[in-house]
Amino acid sequence: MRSLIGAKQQKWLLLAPALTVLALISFVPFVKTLWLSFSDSEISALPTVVSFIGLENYIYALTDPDFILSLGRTLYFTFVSVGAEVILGVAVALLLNQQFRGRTLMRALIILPWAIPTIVNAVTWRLIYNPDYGALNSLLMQLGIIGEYRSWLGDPDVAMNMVILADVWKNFPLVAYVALAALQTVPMDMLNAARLEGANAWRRFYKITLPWIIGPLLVIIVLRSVEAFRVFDIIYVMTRGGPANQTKTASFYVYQEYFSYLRSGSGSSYAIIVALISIILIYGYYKAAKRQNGSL
Amino acid sequence: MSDSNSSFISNQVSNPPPGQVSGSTDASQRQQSYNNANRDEAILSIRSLYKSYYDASILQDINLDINSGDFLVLVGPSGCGKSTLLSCIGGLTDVTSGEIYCKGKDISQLDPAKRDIAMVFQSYALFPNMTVAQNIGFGLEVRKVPAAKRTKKIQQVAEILHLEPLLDRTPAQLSGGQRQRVAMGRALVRDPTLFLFDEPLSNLDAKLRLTMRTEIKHLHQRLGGTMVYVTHDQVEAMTLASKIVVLNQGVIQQFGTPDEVYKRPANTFVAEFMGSPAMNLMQAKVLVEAGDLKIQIQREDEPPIIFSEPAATDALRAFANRSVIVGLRPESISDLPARDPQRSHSVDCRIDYLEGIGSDVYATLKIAGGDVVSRLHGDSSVRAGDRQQLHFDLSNISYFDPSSQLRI
Repeated sequence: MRSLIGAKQQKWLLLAPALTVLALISFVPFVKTLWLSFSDSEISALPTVVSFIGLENYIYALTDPDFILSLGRTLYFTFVSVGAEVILGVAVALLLNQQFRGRTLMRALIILPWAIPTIVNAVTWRLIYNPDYGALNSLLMQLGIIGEYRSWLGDPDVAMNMVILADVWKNFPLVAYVALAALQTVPMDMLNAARLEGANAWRRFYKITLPWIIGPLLVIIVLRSVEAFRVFDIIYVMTRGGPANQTKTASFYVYQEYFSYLRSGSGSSYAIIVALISIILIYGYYKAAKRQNGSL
Repeated sequence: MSDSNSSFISNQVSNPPPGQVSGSTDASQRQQSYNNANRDEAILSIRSLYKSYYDASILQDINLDINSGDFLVLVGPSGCGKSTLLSCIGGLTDVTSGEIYCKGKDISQLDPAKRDIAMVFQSYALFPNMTVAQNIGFGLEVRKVPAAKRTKKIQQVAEILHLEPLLDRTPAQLSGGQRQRVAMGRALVRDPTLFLFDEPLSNLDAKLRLTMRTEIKHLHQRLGGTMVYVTHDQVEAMTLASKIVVLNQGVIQQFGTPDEVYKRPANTFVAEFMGSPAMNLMQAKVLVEAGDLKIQIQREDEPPIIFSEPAATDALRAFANRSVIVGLRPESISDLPARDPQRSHSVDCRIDYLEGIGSDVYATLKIAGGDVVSRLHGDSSVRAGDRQQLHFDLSNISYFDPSSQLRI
């Protein structure tokens, strides 16, 4: 018997509530921001006249060397932190997938860094890096690696990497969990077959295990990359973009333009540019994931 | 005569408890005399192998030798340890104690990669991200066989298994039977010392299973090779094996040719496990009349079945005036006279119910409350409730000790 509405209509009907919510919280602000980015709007206590100025904001943004630099720093932050999170996460997942005493406890403990709010994590790491009484200084001093206490977040050459370290620490458990879940679906027979065929542990990993878990891994890489690209909170708490703007990322730049300098029109154009780059990133990974699935 | 002597036990015979069963392994060990000479000649020798997980004993005192070209089938009910034994041979499971020799060399502590053993898994265990050719050639690639030689070998194996048109496909694009063949190809291409098969046909449908069974049998006959094959299907075991190991609760119940296992089961467990329908087991009494041995099987409301046993061994004579368990296969109780008239004994029986399978009719009779299955000719016109003259073919009769359940 045919139903009263077609399968296609039924799909849209079922999606309607979610789409409505999505439109209200995502689409409306996006359109508003888009409009602002073509205007000379400023945040002001006094009523102001907002006028359309075309691409002026965008031209300004893309010729602003500081903004271009901040984009470069954001990309650096994204690639290094997500790369490290994936390597560390998969390595930890492989360990947690082994049989050993206390495995359940370890699996529970490993999620803790991720369970901590970013702000708390950032404050904690700021304390660890503290130039006067930080644990890192104390540790490296006692190990004889450094001769004197250093200001880790005050040194423009290392500050970004120190923020990345804090971010990796916070986010690798998520990758580890996804990887662990995927690892548990790798058929034991397949690994045993590879063992009997003579493949060593490393070859088993990159020929059998990695291709098997690459799908879920790509999903988490996309998620983490998008998140990392619009990094803000950890920067805000740890360095506020300093020292010498060395940790000033694109989102932080948007924040400053919008809320510190109150140029909401210009700030919106920065935000749109960041969003566009995010979309390109997502698209790239989407293609990669699709190609990967096609070969399976 | 006491009740226990006259009561009929048929299928109610309890499985031998492990303690008594290990007695049987001791006996069979003595028969097999596992010495070093055998060990060095054999392709695979297992000596006093034990495997336990924590307190649970999975395998106990496993001893066996198989020679080049043998097709050894490990058979037994679920959880009997047959897959664990296979896994131990392959090196995927550590042994608790004991040795495994391959061509006279102890491999029990060797890495699986170095054992020169190939295995076909129940789940096929193909690599989904590789083509059929890559799957088959994986072991060669790992062993750094040059590409040209590798391609040639893959081609040869593909030809044998009729996989040539499929070489560029991925496992996801293959049917169950094709995947099974790829899995076998991966094993064949390396030409290993030993092939292991872990229930390779269990995931196939009934018809395909028969085809693949024949194909495996042909492959073995054509290519030689020494195989160890695990199955819970006793028909598979009988048809494929040159030697069978029947396992139960981690203990070898019997190790012999399919014929030996079928005709001369070592104990009541083997008698009931091998063969379908199972061997009929009946409680009987050994009588001595004027020096002749007679076997008496008591029936309810009917005269007892009494036949003489001219071929009685000394062991059976020792049971004079005591009870034994008589084992007769369904095909040994028939409406047709036995081939050897000297060993045929006719009995008038009432048929309780019938199961026709086309070629034959299985007729079930009740003797003192227990069921005995007999195999009648497919054209038999007998109906349930009828009386029928049945011929007991005593040439392959088995006797078991009621207390130890072992063959007399």
